[in-house]
Amino acid sequence: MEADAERAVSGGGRRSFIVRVALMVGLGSIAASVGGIAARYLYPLKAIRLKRRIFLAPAADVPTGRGKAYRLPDGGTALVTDTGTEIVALSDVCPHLGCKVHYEGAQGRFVCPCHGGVFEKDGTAIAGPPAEEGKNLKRYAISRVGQNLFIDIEETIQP
Amino acid sequence: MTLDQKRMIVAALSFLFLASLLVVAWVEGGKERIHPKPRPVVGADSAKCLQCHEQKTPVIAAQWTDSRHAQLGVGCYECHRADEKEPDAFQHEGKWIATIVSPADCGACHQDIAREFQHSHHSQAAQFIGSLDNVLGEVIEGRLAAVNGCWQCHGSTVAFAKEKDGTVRKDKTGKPMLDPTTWPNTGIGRVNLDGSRGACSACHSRHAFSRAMARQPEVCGKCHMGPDHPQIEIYEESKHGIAFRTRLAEMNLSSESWVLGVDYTAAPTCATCHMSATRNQPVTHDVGARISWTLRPVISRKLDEWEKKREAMKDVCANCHAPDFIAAFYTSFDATVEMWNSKFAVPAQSVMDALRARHLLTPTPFDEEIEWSFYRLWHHEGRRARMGVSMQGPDYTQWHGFFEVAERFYFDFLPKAREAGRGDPQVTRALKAVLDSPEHAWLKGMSPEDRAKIDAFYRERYGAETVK
Amino acid sequence: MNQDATAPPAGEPVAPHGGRPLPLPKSRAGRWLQRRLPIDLDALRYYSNEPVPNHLKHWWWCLGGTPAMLFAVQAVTGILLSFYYVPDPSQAYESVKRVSTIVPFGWFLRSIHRWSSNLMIAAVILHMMRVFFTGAYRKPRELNWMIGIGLLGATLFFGFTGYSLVYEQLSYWGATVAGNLTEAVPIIGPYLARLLRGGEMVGDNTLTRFFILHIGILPALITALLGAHVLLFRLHGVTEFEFESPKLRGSEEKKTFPFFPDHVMTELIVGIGLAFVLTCLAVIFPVGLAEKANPLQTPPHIKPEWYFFWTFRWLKLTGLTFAVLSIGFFGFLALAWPFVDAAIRRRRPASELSVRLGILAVCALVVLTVWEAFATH
Repeated sequence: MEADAERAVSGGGRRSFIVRVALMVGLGSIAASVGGIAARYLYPLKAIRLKRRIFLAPAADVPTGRGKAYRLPDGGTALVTDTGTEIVALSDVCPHLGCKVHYEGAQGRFVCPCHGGVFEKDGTAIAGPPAEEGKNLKRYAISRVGQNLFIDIEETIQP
Repeated sequence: MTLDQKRMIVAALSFLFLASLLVVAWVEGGKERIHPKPRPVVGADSAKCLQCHEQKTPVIAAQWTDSRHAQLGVGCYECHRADEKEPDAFQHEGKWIATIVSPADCGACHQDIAREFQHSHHSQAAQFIGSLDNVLGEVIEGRLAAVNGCWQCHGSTVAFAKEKDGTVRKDKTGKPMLDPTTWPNTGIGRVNLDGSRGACSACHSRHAFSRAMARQPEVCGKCHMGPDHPQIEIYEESKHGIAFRTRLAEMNLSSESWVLGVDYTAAPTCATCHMSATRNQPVTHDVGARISWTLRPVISRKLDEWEKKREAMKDVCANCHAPDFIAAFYTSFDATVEMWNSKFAVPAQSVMDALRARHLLTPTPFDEEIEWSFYRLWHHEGRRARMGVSMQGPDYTQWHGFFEVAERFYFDFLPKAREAGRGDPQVTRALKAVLDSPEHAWLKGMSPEDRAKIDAFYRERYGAETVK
Repeated sequence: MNQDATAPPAGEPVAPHGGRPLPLPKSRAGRWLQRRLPIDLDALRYYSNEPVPNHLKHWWWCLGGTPAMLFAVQAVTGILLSFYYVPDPSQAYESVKRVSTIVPFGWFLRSIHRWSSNLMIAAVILHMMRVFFTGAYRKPRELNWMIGIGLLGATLFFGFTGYSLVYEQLSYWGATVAGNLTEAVPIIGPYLARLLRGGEMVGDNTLTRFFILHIGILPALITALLGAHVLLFRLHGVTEFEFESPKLRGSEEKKTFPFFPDHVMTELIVGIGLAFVLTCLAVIFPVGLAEKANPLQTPPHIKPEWYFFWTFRWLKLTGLTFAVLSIGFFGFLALAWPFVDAAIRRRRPASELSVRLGILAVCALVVLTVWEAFATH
């Protein structure tokens, strides 16, 4: 609209020209600023990645050799096993293509039903596609506070 | 208005508007975006508890939700779970739980604190069963006075309610019932069914278990108050207490780390001196770790390893006070306690000893007036005087303290002792030994010259009409 | 180009219905566009660059464009706000809080939206007064007046629904009161109230309905009415003013001035001025958030927004049924005033009754509004 207005009247003089340039700059800047404000407003805030240490279970509750499943606040599951030497918490998501692994008592290992991935109690991949790609089950850090176990999880909060 | 004039106005207005947008951007930049606290983490079992208890006991649920425990996923079941074999365990909605969460339960996570606490004098608070105080409360006043009075601070011994045949009474769901004279009770020395001693919730009130609350003097003041140990009143009178009250906002009470001189500098609380961390000491739940005197008994004495404990206390003082200041305080403090000992405590005790040795008192405690007089002297007035000086409360040292000690000693205890002595030579000797000592010589009489000096002072200071 | 101007070259753009050939622009880009968008630029220039009567140089006459500009501001800020607003009773308040405290510039856009709504309603009312007192509603412009009343109603309804969306105490209880008032309308009242609320009481359905009204139905309605409003006054031409001051009369030949660029500049001054005022208001008096809606507890002192103060006070003075009926009657009277006025002037051609009654109405409204503003109950 302002472009039309400019071209419609052939005003003369340097002063008129300066005024018109100032006008264009002013209106253009307004458009840019308002656009900028709207853009900043609409663009989502950065997700807050919160590292939290939360209660898992009393250490006495964790079975030896067998992975006990615990539901985590983000919906995932941690398979917690006392391997004899340490207590390990593993994600139950297979690193190959995301299927859920389960514990096979007979073999004493974690098995993925989709493509036959096999993992040791401590999460090391020993057979199937995960072993070929060298990807083990993801570990959660476990810490011991008194007689209880706490697990480190990462939560993503979208403000 | 010409077209060009209009153009100029539009251009000018545009820049004015742009300037206002700059202000908007500046305001936006200055805004502190306070993100809401992350959601509490509720385990599957505790979630089931909350389903009902959010309606039935909404304040418990709400207090827990806002607490630090909730952020860590330590919920209802994590604390209240109990082994089937535990005597007070019962089944509730499919799970074995217990009502009382004892220091042993808290200690499952808070191991060091629980251990320190079990070693402290606080955990022994209920261990005065054989004492005179116990007789006073349970027998002379009436058991329920002890139940709802003494034991509420000192702690009860939790027991089951019993049927007539001696078995544990159970309600219709099979839950074992606790004896109502022993529970509810959050006395600091409560003897729990699992053998542990204490109630963490005495200071860390449930279910928020707030750090900030536990650091405040009011929490200690529930019990450490009153005619026989007015620590909270003394603190409030002292400069420490004044500093605290007037600079409360700067105390940083909710901070996780609460190191004197680092996280806060405004004022000390009870916790500051007796428990909390300094740059050189970690926090301790053994409240006696920095105390050198015991001001409790008739005759005060230094505790075991008192030098080490005093150094620990001085380490706290040194954050605000210079070494000379601290040294002079302790010199004066020690001397005042020694004065109490030598001028009043030892003499009074010696008189009582004489009366007992001569069988002039019945074996029954508190059945004679002299016993009450002596009790008040050392258990109430004498303690007030000593504690007043220990925590820099001058009025408690003087008017609630030594003034009342003197009045009691000279015009209540000694006359009653004379009467109870009935002229017995040993008692009379003991009384004479007391009155002959230089501190009590004033009783023999003041000289007329000294009296005249006093009258002259009043005449000069307050006017002739004040002296008759 | 073809030398023979009578027959258009094959494939070249012509005016619709076999009209004259359209002149082609000189540049290739221009010709490319003209072939695909065969607009008669001369006609466009003629229709759009309408000569504007000189009296429009009076700033008083900008009151018509002002609400339209503010409506544009509302549309833009409203669309932006709807990115974060959640129209569910359990989340609405929190979402507004989020916008006001967490989203960057959210506080600013919300404050603009709120202030602009207040200014828009004020501007519509002032414009209506201008039109009334200059007699611009008279024949042949009665229809446009009625459309204007429709626009006023839609704007007030906009304000009401918008305020209810925040789900503060006042939102909830204001909606409840409005529902009760609607019920009091004879015969159709209860049905209308139920339609508005989506039920017997203000509840989940109500918020959804208000939301759709506010972002869908009312914008469409106002756009349609506004379009009709502009079309009508373009067709009629701006009312010629009977009384002209010597200053405005200018030279005898030039009783008008061009729309482009002169009046456009005037409109720009108003527009940017408004933007500046709104920004100042948003920064100095940002919009806050009152207590969240509590269906179990009516706040002790309840008042609607300022533009409904007159209704509230009238209601308190006269009682429910009479208030509803009288307001309905006066509303109808306002709508039909051009015809009433025409009837009056047929009897007495020089009558100033309209103006006097208008002044009386304005005074009454001001008194009622101010009274309610200062009253505590």
